[in-house]
Amino acid sequence: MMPSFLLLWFVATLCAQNATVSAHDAWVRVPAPSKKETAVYMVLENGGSRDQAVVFASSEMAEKVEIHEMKMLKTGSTSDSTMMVMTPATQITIPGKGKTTVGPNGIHLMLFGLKSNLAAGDKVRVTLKLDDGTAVPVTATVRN
Amino acid sequence: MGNGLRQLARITGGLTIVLSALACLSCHRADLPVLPIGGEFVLTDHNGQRFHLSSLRGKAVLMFFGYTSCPDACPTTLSKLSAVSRELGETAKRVKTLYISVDPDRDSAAVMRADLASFHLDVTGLTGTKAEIDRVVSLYGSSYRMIPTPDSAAKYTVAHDTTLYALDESGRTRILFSYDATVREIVTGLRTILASHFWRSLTNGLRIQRL
Repeated sequence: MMPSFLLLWFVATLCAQNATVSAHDAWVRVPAPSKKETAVYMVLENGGSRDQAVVFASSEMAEKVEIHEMKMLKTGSTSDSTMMVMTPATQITIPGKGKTTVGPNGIHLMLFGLKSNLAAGDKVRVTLKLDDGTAVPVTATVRN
Repeated sequence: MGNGLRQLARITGGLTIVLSALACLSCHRADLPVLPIGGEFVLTDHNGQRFHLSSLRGKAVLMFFGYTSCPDACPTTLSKLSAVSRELGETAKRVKTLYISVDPDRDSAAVMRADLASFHLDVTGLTGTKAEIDRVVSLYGSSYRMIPTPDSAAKYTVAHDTTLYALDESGRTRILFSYDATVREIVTGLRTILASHFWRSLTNGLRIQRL
């Protein structure tokens, strides 16, 4: 009997081949020395005409992957001052025939509970799950 | 033209250049008012020692508020200030960066020391009790607030002001840079602060000589 993880891998690969969403330029920020968390960035492209959304993400390198969004709000406490606000988000939308930058100063993924130390040049595999159930495997390079 | 006249012309030309340079520095000084925020404070540095802002007299200071679990804005600011330091070259020795944590529960001196070690920058991490930090935040017209995120592994995040403060060698606040200020803008601001200090020193020196 085929082991269940092989079956899952087969299904994920099959889904990825049919996915209209692809990721490129994926990278992971080198974590601060005392931290077991860091951010993941990439560009997501949607080749289909229907909007799609990343609703979940996982990685074998972290206990949990979350979608977070950084916003800069004007505070008015001093001229031109802005307040950085970071909050969890529920999804990353990629417009049909469009792209979404998952990057610094915006919506991005967070790896929490890193299972090993990461250094520049290391590769981190992340699997994105779309709202239609499609899995999109991504390999991100660790860098500063 | 005799030798005497040529020598006089050289001296006059040289004086013109010096006076132009001094006039330029004087203009810079006029562009930098002392801002009505800031002042002396005491916190704990990343080595666990008490830190007084006044201990940095004679150096320009770049200062900002943040927290080490901040995954985006704070590392970006530190990377930018590392680039500022590289751009300043030898002048970087006259500048000190202060990174004040607004998350004292997580940011102990040891945590700040470990996390700042990876940046090529003359930076001191500062932490303290909440009351001590709140006093500094208030002095500089800054703000922050804790945002509980119970469903996240982070448990809470800290929304904080991203202003970068530039202080002169006397600890007075002279320039506020916004988060999107470029390396070039910060370098130019620091050079202006340091030049105005030079101008003050020079004029003070001349005054002393006249006496």
